[in-house]
Amino acid sequence: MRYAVYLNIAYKPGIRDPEGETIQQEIFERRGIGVKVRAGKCLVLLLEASSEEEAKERALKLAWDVRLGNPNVHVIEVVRVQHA
Amino acid sequence: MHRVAILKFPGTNCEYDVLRALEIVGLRGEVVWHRDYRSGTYDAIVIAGGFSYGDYLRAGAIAAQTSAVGHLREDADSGVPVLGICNGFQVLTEAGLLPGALVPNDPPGFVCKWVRVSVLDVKTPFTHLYEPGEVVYMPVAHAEGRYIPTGPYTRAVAYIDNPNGSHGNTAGVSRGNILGLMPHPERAVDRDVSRNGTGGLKLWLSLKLWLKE
Repeated sequence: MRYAVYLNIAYKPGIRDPEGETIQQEIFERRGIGVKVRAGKCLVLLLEASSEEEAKERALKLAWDVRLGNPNVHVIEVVRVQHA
Repeated sequence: MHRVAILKFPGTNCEYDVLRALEIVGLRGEVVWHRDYRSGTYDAIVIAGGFSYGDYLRAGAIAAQTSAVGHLREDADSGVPVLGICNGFQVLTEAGLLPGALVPNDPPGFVCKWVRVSVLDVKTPFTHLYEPGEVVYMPVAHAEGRYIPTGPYTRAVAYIDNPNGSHGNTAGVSRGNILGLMPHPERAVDRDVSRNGTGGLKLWLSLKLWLKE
């Protein structure tokens, strides 16, 4: 089966995130809307797997193997898995 | 003397090139920090190129939501000539002052080179001294310059050799007194530093004459 695995690559919670902070301040806070924003990069990997769970595991392993994130500063999370 | 505002956001980096181009044709430019800009103050506005707000979210997207662009909209609506260059063009499309959108280049990547462009709309405050179809050299330097139309639009300037996959070879779009350009006319005004002529000079001279009339 072919799956689309949506990955979000973002800074770890303790790492300052200038893009998120800028969007929070300049888009939301200037309108008086109090939300916290963290920025990330979403990548969709299209891959073959026998189940959703396998697709998710495979995508995460691939992501770290090819260093889509820097393990010192990033987290990689699976946002969504669906048939492609 | 006429006052031309050169709008500066955090990350703008071409404001002094524009200032010099204005000075070369005898116009008085003022670099204006976006928070200090008020409508009704200036005779023309230039949004200079660069990377406003670090291109966060999308190129030009955050600058387009500042109060400065609210003031800019008022000036534009009252007929004040408005020019957006490169990131300034991206700000104008993000703000809806010009139609369409500028998306990442195809082929992908940052393109930095001299290109030949043809000036098609010679009725704007910035182009009326050019001959219709006049071909000049100007440099481009951008990663998000591929124009995508969302409806009818006026192609003001077209690439002869399309460097970014832009729809219809579009390099510039106009709407009345508003012009957006991906190429940099301010970098094609000085014979001593421009190796491909001074094709941008007529743009600044056009503005000067327009303001005098």
